[in-house]
Formats: sequence, C-alpha cells, structure tokens
Amino acid sequence: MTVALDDPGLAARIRAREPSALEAVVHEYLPQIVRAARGAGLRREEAEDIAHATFVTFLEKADTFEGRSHVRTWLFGILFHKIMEVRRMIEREQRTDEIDELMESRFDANGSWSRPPSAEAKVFGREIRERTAECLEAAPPKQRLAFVFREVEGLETDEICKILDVTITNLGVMLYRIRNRLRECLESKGMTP
Amino acid sequence: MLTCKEVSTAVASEDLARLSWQKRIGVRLHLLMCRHCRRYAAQLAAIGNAVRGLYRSEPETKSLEESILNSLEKK
Repeated sequence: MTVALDDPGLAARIRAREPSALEAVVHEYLPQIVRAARGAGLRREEAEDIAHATFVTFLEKADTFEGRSHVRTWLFGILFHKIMEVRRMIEREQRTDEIDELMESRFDANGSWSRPPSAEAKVFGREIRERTAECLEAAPPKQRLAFVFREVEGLETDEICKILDVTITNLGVMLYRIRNRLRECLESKGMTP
Repeated sequence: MLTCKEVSTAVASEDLARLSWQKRIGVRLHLLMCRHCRRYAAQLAAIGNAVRGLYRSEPETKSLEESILNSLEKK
C-alpha cells in the first residue's frame, strides 16, 4: 500500500508507527538525507550510517511527532543534531570568523572595493566543481549544511532556520561567510568562477 | 547611494534580514553600474552552480533503504 506524503492524516499514522507510513517516509527522504550528510562533509559510509541512525531516532520519537512541521524539516533537524554529535562541533555561536576580517580588508574606508574580485583565469565545469569540493572541505559543517540546504535542496529560508535552529539573521551570516570563504579560496587558487 | 560593501553583503547573505524595498532597488541599481560588484555576484552564482553540480545526482540508496526498514521493523 502506498501512502501519500501530503496526506493530512500522515502525522497520526506516523505517531501510530504504521509500517506503510514509515516505509513511505524512508523511501521518499532517504536519498535527500544521504545527500545532505555528504554535503556536510561526511564520507559515503559515514553518511549512510548517520542516515540509518536518523531514521532509527525518527521511529523512536515517532509518537511525539505533532505534524506541526513538515516531516522533512523534522528529519533534517534530527540529521543536523547527529552530524554535530559526530563532529563534536556543537559550534559555539561564532562571533567572529576569519572570513569577516578578510572581507573587511577588501574594502576601503568608503566601502568601495580596494581589492576587487579577480577576473583572471576563468574556469568552468568539472574543474570548478573539483576546486569547489576542495574548498568546501575547510568549511564548518553547520555553514556547509546551510549552504547545501539552500543551494542543492532549494529549501526556503524559514525551513532552514527551523532545521538548524537559528534566526534568519544568523542564517544570513552563515551564508555570507561560506560564500565568501569559497570565493576567496577559489580566487587564492587562481581560479575565478 | 549604497556602497560596494553593503551591496556585496546583501548579495552574499541574500537579504535574509529583509531589506526595505528602497534598499532592494538600491542594490539592483548599484549592480547595473558597478562592474566589480557585478563580477562578485556572478562569481557567487557560479559557485552555487558548482555545488549543485557536485551533489546533483541522487545517491544510490536501495540496499541502505532495505537495511533501515529491517531495523525499524525490529523496533
């Protein structure tokens, strides 16, 4: 039997641990969960293990699911906490980030570019993807997740804020930091996207 | 008139704190006039594309799905 994920009764069926509802949720969201875990920087096996653990927790907490948020939001939230546990990176609210200072140094006192973005050596396609992957390695997992939810999964900002438990301002800061981090990293490799 | 610094910040953080419409229009106008900021915005867009390219393919999860459903059944 199939279960429609937009079924208004889905929350109740999840709470009742109805096998067909659980199967539908696993089938629908497992690929996204694995992809997000990979996006956060986990290796393939790590990502699969953590996806597995995410669904086990999902089942254990099924009776508390009130259906007030989307199933996906809830699952991604569980995933986020698991990744932070694994990485032991319950990042304290980072007031400063090295990228902030770097960005300061790019503007003069009037707020105009003192070192404008480089225009040399444009690269495309595979080359840029590979260099970007290298640059992503150094980024904090929470920033990476914010970025992947936005750019790869295309989630709305409200949903990302719920998943990562941050304010809209915090999310803006995280996206600002990772985008500049990646841009600076690529430019330092002499690659301009 | 917005500065390059304000414009690049608005672009990179996606105006998430919700800019006023005046400022939003200011960003657009600035981008029309400033080639450095235009380049910056195009580079950020290209980086977004590169990351989408990296994770575009859905991972193969059939056997993982089976093993997850197995362990859920036992719970």
